[in-house]
Amino acid sequence: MKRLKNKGKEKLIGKTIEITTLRKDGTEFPVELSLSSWEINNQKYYSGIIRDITERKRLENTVKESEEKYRTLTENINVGIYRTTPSDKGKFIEVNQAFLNIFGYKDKKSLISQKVSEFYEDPTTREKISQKLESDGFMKNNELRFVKQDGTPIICSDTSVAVKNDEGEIIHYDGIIEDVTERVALRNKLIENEEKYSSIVNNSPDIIMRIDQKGTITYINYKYAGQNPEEVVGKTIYDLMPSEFHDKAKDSLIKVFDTGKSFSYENIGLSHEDEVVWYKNSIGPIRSNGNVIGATIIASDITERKQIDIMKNEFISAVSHELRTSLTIIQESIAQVLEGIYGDLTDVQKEVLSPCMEDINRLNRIINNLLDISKIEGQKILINREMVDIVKLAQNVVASFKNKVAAKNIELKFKTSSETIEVYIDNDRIIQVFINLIGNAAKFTEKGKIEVSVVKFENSVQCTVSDSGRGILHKDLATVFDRFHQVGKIVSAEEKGTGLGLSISKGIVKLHNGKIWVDSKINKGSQFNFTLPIYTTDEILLENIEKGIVKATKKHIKLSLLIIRLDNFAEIEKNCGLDKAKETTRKVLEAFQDVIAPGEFSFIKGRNEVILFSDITQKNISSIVEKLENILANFISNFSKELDIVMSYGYSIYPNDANSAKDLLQSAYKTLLIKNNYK
Amino acid sequence: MGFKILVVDDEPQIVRLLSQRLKANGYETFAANDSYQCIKMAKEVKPDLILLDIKMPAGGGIHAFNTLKSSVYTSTIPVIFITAYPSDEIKKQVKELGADGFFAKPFNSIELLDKIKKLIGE
Repeated sequence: MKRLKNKGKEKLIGKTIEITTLRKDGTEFPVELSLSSWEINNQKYYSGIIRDITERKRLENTVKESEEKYRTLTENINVGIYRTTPSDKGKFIEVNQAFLNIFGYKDKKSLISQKVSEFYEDPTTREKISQKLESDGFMKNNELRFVKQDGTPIICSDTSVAVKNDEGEIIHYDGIIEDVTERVALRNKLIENEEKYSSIVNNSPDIIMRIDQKGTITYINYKYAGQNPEEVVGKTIYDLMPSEFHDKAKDSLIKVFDTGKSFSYENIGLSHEDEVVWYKNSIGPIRSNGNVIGATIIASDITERKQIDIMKNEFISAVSHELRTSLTIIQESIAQVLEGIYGDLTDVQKEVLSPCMEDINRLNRIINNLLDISKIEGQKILINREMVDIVKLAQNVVASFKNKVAAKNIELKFKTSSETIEVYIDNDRIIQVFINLIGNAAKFTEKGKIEVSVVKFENSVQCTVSDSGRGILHKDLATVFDRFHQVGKIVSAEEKGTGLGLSISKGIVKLHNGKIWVDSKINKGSQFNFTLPIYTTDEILLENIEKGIVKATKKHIKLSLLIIRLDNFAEIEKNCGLDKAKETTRKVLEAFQDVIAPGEFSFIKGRNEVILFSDITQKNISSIVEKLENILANFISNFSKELDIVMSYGYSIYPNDANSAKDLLQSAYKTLLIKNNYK
Repeated sequence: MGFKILVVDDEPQIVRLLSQRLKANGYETFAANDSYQCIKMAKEVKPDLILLDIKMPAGGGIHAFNTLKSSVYTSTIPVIFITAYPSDEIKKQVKELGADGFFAKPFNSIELLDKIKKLIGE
């Protein structure tokens, strides 16, 4: 009270104040103090009411804290929050910091003086919104165009509600607003992109389809054979082509789902105007989570190219037939005259006619090469691959050139890294490559040597023909494998090439999945190299079983994988030698081919196992084995009276036992282990 | 008496030249210009060997071959195909048919005579 008096108590009269005071124990606590005064006989009296307000203060603080919390939230949130008056023009009552940031205002003061309608790019927007809020009470995610303080247009997503009092009058609008300018731009870009791509699909001259594993069409971009896309969807691709193409199409589709790679096939079909056309179909996988879930087909009209191709092929084969026939007549006539069948010739007559034979040979080579190149380019060349010892193959070709190079006084050497190198190749075609390369070397080398080497690497074999000849100019290196490319002048007809040899060689090597290249230095010599992949017997085996599976799937037939093991191979080898033992294994294979239909896939694995893949069924396997036994018993008695043939066999059936080549093979081996002895 | 060889080709010049060469090597020759004549001659003459063109009128050489092989009178006669169409397909077809020989035109006459000698003798 003394303190109060000192502060000037008169000022406090009639007021209620809050002060902190002390308890008896010395702790502070808040009190509310009301002072009043009155006069009795000129004597002033004071009275005061003190109320302990500790509890009230605590509550007040709690409210204040929570209000603070809420304020921080609205101020820090990224979304603009506002409250405006409900009139058509509108005034801001409250906004948060984010709102200021969105519209580029520094503080609330400069904003409060603005009309809300002026924030819109089109000020009449405010009226429309007011009407909507009056009728509906709210407006959700409305994308509207606004203007920032500096005039920059922005797009915001606006959600607002009309807040009413107890009497139902609208007292203000509350809303949240978000700057979506970038998001809208991105979305528009996406839409634009999609339109761009869909216009590519829709305006494409090619037919674009989406299909499932069964070949059912789930989408097509175009009319087909006069039918609208809706009518075509639900049909299969096989409905769109004659049956002779079903196998090829099915084959490609199976491979796309098996390997996840793209393939192509050609078929006759109908155009959208219902005309008969040729299509080239590129079929590729559609993936989801790494699995192939469907396929796309792009079908291009290649009718024109096809007609030209057919004409070209007919022309080439007709011309080559005529050329060959005429050439035969010329060759035989001259040869017979030269041989003296029609009487002796003078030396001069012989001299005139002899060179003709060389020109005839060259013409014949040109015809053969032209046919080869047209086959390679038309992808009509057949590659008959088998296991071949490429060392022996190369040695034989080198030997055939011995006389020719000896005449020119050139040394011809052969080198190899291994005694034998077995590769899975087309024997005749690879001989052709060696003949072309060694032939070229011999042609362009006047002195020095030609070296042919065959070197085995881990996964491939590299063959090299190097010479010490005139070499190739650097500028010609890039085109040396092109058609009709010949470097330098060659005089005699015999040496004159066709300009197709290297181009054919490149085609053959590529067909074998190999590489071919040349290194050369002018006047130093050239080095032609090519590689051929070495496949393991297992790879070849599995590749062929795979082929069989594709065939069986297409034809809806079962296939048997048979393994026959010659159990006493070692005994035969011991008694009759390795060659005879190997011959016996081969005989097992041949006998099998005799008993079942020829042309089925068969294979010798290791030294004593024969693997067969054929459509024979389980039922007649035993009768086949019996026939086989008779053949082999006869065979073995040719070179040994004491020996018998001891065999085991195992088999598995596709698709009953397994679906993949690997599993099928394993399954067959499992039954082989249960020894079936026929003796 | 030499061996009898039937030369079948629709190109008379080829027939003439082949016959000439065969005669010079001591064979007796007969000629036919199409498949029909070939089958007829084969039955009449019973040659020891037939040189057969493939692309010919009246069915072609493949048809003639099949007819020859299906008759007991002619099925054992060795046949050598000589063609100006030595495509991979034809080669494969001939191999599957089991013909005794195959030569592409223009043929090497020394090799052809060797082959004939091996099949029937001189």
